[in-house]
Amino acid sequence: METSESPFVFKAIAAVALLLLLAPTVVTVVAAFNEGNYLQFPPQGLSLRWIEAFLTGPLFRESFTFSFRLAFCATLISTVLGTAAALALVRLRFRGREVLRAVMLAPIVLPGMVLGLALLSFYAAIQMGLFRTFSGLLLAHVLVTLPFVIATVGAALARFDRSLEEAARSLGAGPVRAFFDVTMRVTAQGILAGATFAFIVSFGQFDISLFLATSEMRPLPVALYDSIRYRTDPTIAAAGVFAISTVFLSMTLVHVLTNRKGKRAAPKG
Amino acid sequence: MAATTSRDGTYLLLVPAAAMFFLFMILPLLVLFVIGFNPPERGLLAVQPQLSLENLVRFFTNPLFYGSLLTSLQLSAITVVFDVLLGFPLAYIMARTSSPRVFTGLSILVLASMQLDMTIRLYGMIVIFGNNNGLINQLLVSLGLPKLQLIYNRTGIALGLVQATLPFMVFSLISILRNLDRSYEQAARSLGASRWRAFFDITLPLATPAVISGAVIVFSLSISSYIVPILLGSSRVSTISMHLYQQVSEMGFWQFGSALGLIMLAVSLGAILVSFSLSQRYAGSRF
Amino acid sequence: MRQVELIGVAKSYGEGPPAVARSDFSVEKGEFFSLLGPSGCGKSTTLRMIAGFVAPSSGTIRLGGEDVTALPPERRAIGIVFQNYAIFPHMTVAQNIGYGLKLRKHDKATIAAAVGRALEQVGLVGYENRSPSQLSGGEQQRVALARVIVLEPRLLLLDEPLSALDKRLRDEMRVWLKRLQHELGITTIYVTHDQDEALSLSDRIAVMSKGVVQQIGTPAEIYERPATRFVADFIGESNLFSCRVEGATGALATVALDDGSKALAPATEAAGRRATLMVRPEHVLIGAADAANRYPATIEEIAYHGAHLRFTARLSPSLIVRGERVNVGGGMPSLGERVTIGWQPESGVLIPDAP
Ligand SMILES: Nc1ncnc2c1ncn2[C@@H]1O[C@H](COP(=O)(O)OP(=O)(O)OP(=O)(O)O)[C@@H](O)[C@H]1O
Ligand SMILES: [Mg+2]
Repeated sequence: METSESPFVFKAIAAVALLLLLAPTVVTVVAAFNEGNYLQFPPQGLSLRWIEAFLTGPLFRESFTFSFRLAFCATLISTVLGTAAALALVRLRFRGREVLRAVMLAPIVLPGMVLGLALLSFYAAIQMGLFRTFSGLLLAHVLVTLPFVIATVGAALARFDRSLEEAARSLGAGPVRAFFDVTMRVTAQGILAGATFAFIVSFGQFDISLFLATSEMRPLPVALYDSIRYRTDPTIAAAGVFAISTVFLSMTLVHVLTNRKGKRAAPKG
Repeated sequence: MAATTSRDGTYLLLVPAAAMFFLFMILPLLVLFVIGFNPPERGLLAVQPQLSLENLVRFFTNPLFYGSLLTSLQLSAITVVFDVLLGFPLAYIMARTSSPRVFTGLSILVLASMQLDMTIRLYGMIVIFGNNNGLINQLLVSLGLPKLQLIYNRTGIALGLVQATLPFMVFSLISILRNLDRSYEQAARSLGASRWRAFFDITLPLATPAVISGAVIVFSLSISSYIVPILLGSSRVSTISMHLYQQVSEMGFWQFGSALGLIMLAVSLGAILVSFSLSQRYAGSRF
Repeated sequence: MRQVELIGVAKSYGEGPPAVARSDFSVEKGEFFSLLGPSGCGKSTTLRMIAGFVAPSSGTIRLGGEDVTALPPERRAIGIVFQNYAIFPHMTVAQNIGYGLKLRKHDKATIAAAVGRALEQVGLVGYENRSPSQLSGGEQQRVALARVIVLEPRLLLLDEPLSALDKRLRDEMRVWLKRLQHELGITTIYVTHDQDEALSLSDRIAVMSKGVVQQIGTPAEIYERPATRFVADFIGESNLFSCRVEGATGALATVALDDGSKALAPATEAAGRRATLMVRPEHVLIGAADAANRYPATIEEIAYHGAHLRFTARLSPSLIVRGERVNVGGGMPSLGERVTIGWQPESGVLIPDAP
């Protein structure tokens, strides 16, 4: 048995990698509590002025809440559609299943910017009230969040022991009832993790929103981008603190939900 | 089982999602395809009946444009290499830690850094790597060393792309390394291989499929990234994504912009196909 | 009265040989019926067709005279206990057992009373509020049974219910299960690949191989008069000799074994037919002064098994016989010793070769 599991070189490189991943975030948080008038590091004195500026400014009032609403709706829709699709993909054996699965996971690797442009052109071409409207943007977000739900819920369903559902059926539950009473309850963690993933992906989505956003409907990432291009004050760092908190909380939730060992029931005292 | 489930109508569950992907992914991409082959007409966002190769010809005859594709390819390749070099050790340590708490902690950090808003991360990158007041340059100056030009050039874009894509590589690797039975490595050690020998002979080859699949995701994300080159690059380094945005949003050349999008799409799909055949061949040679 | 009838039931999954090929059998009311066979022979598939989880490719399944082939599982009133018990992890023991009654819209008091009675029957009084994660394997097994019997199903299906338990518990549960089934008088189909279990529990057994039912009979019939070579080989230890029936004299026939030696056996096959002669090891005697089938042989192997001894004797270069005798002291031949071995003609069984 070695005392240390991994070679020193690995540890050193891993430390550099972590630094590169985390330092920008840490710097942003520190900058948000900066006293000074512009971007500065190390900060001169502590203050909540930029947090306050963010909370009272348009970035928060308009974009943060808009993004929240958008992500909420997208999550709701893609959780329902994605869970249904994942169930069918796990249960059915048919020719072309792998192709269909690949298509449904494709938005993860397809360039978001290209999808955004394609959707914008498509909306313009079909003239059905999707061009530069909330519905159009929402559908785009459903599209890019669906793969995350399908993958996460699919993994949970693949682990799910089907005899539980069959037991419910032979005890007298119809297929729908058995799903809601047993399958959904037992895989609830996976479904919740998928939903959280969808929310985060939509909330942080920049690429697909780039062409579909308008000045009245500007999700937070697009608004942040606009604001950093034209003026750099620490309000953006303050916004970052909120985004960081949201993401950390949800990612902790996702991780806890997807990595629990086995499917234990909550012990009753 | 198939018979029972079709009786339940399980197939119907696929319909909404399949319709979603058909209507809002496949059809739009077809529209994009047609527009990319429409003759250029400034300011017109519509599908025209005439087809032409004018956009592609313009792309491949103007060094400004095909050069930007080469720049993007080069930056993406560099990003893949650095992601593997930095990501493998991190993933290895995470996969091999015996403490679940360390694993959970590191996973959450990496997962969170993957999902965090890109603008905010790049803002942090500017603060750290800034050419005048960046932390690194402040440090160099205080040590009496000359300043480095770390951003607003190719280096800056590469740094930003690595920052942006590293988590994807790490997670792709972890999924395999965690399930890789440690006893293979231990068997090699007991047969007389040194730790490094065992790593290069056993662990690395077994992890190759994960490296390949991580590389595709990273490559595809890098080639299509717009926000990184626009915030950390300069007007002297142009990537294909920057031209795409400019052509469409600033100049109204929808047809040419669509053609650029098609090229970007083709490169991404090409990378996926290459990696797929690589991992097929790799899997084939193992048995 | 026939409680379950399978008429020409077959199932194939895609290409390849069918998982179950044309099964015909019926189970009487109150009977304990086992499906026995090696892994992959189609036992679970048969059971799952009866339960309604798998639709047969052809054939009819009747329950209490009613054709249920097209009925979904929830409308068949069948109780099934799975190999892994399938206790709902998000419900307490009481909620698990009461689930079926809740679906049938009984009121809370009725459910609580029935759950209490069921827990009593399976010996788990006081376990109502436990969560499944706090139960041992044997306890989960009992909960799974309670959940099913509380509904008074017309048929109980058990798919290798004991295989996940350790040996001691398995023996204990076997006795308990048989008693419970007897008390309730519930028609039961039991799937197992363990012949001991099938022989000791069942009223009748269907032995399956490669999707085909080879023989149906009581444990004694199956063991003592196997209908096919497969059954003879699969159930218990046996000596199987390929042979040709030469001619009958009264109740006995002379058969010629492949190495040319002759033996007497019950005349159940016509002269001229090819057959297999089966002799169980416990019928093979050393010395065998009064046996009609006697052969000089060399002892090649002796194995000590505590309660009994097993030996292998070579009759000719191509023929060996395995024997077994109870270990009650007395001399045992040594390795390489020349002895005479033999068996009574009546203890042999002639199994016709498949045409
Ligand atoms: N859902 C399925 N799809 C395709 N083939 C299947 C399916 N279920 C079972 N089979 C095949 O049908 C055959 C019979 O399987 P079955 O599960 O009935 O065997 P079994 O007798 O219960 O075996 P075991 O003792 O291992 O449980 C096997 O060859 C199996 O591979
Ligand atoms: Mg089975």
